[in-house]
Amino acid sequence: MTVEQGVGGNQDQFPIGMRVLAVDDDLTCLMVLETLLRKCQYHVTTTSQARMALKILRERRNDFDLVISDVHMPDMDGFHLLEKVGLEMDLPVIMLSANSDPKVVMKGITHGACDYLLKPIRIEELKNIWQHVVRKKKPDNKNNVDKPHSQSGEATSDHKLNKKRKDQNDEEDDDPDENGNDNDDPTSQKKPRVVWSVELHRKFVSAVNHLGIDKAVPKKILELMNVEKLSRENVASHLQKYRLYLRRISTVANQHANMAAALVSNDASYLQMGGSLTGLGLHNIAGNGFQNGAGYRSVTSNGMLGRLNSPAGMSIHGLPSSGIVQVAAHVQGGRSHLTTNQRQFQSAISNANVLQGMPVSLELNQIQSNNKGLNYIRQPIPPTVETTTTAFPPDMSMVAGGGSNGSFVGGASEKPLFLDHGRCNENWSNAAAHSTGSTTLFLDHFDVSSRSSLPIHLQGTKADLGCRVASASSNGAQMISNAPQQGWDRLGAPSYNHLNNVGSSSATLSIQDNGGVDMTNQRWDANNASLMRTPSFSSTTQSNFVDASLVKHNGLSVEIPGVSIARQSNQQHNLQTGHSNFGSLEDVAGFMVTREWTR
Amino acid sequence: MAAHVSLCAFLAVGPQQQLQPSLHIPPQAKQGKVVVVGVEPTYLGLGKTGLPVWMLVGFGAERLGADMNRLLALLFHQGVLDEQFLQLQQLQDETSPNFVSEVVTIFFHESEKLLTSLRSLLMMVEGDDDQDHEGGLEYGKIGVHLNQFMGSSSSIGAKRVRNVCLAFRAASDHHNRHGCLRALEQLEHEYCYLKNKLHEFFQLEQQKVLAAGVRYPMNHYNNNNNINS
Repeated sequence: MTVEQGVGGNQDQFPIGMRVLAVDDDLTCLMVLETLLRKCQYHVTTTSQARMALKILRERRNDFDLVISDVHMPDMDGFHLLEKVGLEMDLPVIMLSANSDPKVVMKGITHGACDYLLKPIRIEELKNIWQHVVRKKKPDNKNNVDKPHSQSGEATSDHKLNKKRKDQNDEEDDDPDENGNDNDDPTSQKKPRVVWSVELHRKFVSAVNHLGIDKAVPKKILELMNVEKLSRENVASHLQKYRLYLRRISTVANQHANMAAALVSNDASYLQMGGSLTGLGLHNIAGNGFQNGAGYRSVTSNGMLGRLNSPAGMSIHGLPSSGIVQVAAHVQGGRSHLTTNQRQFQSAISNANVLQGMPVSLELNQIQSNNKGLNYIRQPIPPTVETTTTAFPPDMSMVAGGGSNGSFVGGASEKPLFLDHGRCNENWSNAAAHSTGSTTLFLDHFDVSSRSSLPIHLQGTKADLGCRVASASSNGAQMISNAPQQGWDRLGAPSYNHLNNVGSSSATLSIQDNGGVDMTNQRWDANNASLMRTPSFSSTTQSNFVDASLVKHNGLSVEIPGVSIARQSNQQHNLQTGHSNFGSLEDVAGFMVTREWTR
Repeated sequence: MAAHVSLCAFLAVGPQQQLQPSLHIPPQAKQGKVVVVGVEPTYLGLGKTGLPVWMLVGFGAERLGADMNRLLALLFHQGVLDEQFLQLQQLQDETSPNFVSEVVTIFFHESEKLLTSLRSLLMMVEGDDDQDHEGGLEYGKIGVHLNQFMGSSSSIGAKRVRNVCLAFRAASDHHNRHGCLRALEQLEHEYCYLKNKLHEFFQLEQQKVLAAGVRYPMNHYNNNNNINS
């Protein structure tokens, strides 16, 4: 590696003396590139490792005008490096590759590369790359061409925004090191250049998080950040970059691990998740769930993971619950207290019960086994239950048991999730036939909240059932149904699912157990515990979530042993802590979702 | 000095040539090749033409140059090299007098590593479609290596090598083991041919430099060679 500093010298004759950092793991190409660049009279620094490149850039931020990097590198993906350089240093980055596949080129562009060159590189192409440097600088300072170099080679002014956004150049340099030179020439600059240092970026991110990714507008972010010399355009361009970055992260991360990161980093993923909840039909979920509790669970869990980013997954979860809720609604007919429960349920929706949904369903199953009455739980819900939906749905379906789809929701869920009521009834009877423990899963989740409201649907089928369970489940369901209303901004969808599950499961339980509301409740506890461990539900995470909410929410003593609110790291909304009162449904949902996916 | 040193260095690197005290002089250039120190006696003196060495010396460099050009023309014609190689040659100047040979040396070194990896990866791939999964992993790595090979070969202008890499990559994308094997063999063949030819080319170049130096003992070469013209 040769290291050269572009200090003084030709800096007044830009592009002569432009300082370039070349990164390529292929030594042949690196050498050729270096020589070509030297031929163009640039100052060249080379390294064959991306990490080293980042280190160099971080240490000597002001020493470079441009970065050229290969796409395929063993230690770090070229796009990743690209993003980092763009976000941290705002230098223009040119991608290099032997691969001319348009998809790869597109990827480079979306990641913010200034240009994409194909190997073999010709000197004519390199002779032109200085334009990217100027382009970035231009809005800032027309004098930049001579200025940067004249600033004792600091060339802070040479830092260009990496991304292709046109308005990028107006970012202000908040970093003292960077500032010096820029500020020396204020008159000639429209706006001082901004370098998004780590602290600045952190402030930015926290401001965005505070506002919510959807509602984050540059103006408000600017106000929140309260940084001098930062203009709205700077923030706007940085926000644009940031959104792209998040989107990339979320699309790439279809696994829970990524999901967790995304959740932490932002709302984008949440928003996405929340969106689709309503779409899916509970039916789907319910159906599958019942069939085979265990199997379903596993199916769903996979689905959950895979669905991290897809709202569909979430909605599926939600669906079962809606079904349940509907069932509950039916049940409601007879019971006044169910109604009450229902209301409670609705109120409880916003709480963390969402998570509980799953466990509740489990419990329901368990309870059901004890109660011949409601076998519906077992019964797979005729409506399609999407196996992909992840753990939640299965539970939900189970709980909803047969007919939950339609009636459960009752008042709570306006959601389309609910299946026809009639079906629910059928299901219920079918469910009764089953006696597997699959419902247990539901119960656990429902747990606290569901208990209270469950009875609604339960009542319908089994008049005498302690509606508590039913109400609980219906609560859950209602919660779920309400959840969507609440505007899922984060993981809303998932919670919805959970809620549904919860509701339905609880409902089932209550119905079955005529006198056994308490029993069901107890069951729930037990189930919850077991449920918590259910793999499909990202159990720990969810349990945590649920646990806190459950306990607090209804004052039910449901304790979810397995729950250890351990996974908080990714959870911005600390449901357990922050929402002891079942804060917002979204939070719960978000939490739940996170949990599931982070399995 | 530099020329002399680089010549030795180059020869040392090249696998095929043994270092000889005398230059390896292509038969047709015998006449002009004398006067370098250590040259075999037969090349000293008159040579076949009967002309005095000092007269012949002047033609040596030209002859070598002609040989080099002929070789290059042949390689271009065969499609072994393309204009990128010419670009590299243009980059060679006083500040980097041995640029092309250095780059090509690095290329050979890296390519041999790549070829070894490719062969071992292909050997690891199970013969047939049964283990698609494992094959997938190897094919993926093969693709990565090929990508690098393509990049480096195209950077020095090794057109045929690059084209074979393309075909190889296509075969590997389709998990076609047989196709990959054939492509690998072809790749190794092309690579060997290229390497031999480039070695030859560089030797000519070195000889030419020495010959030119010999021809003008008073210039900067004179301290390199103890040639008495």
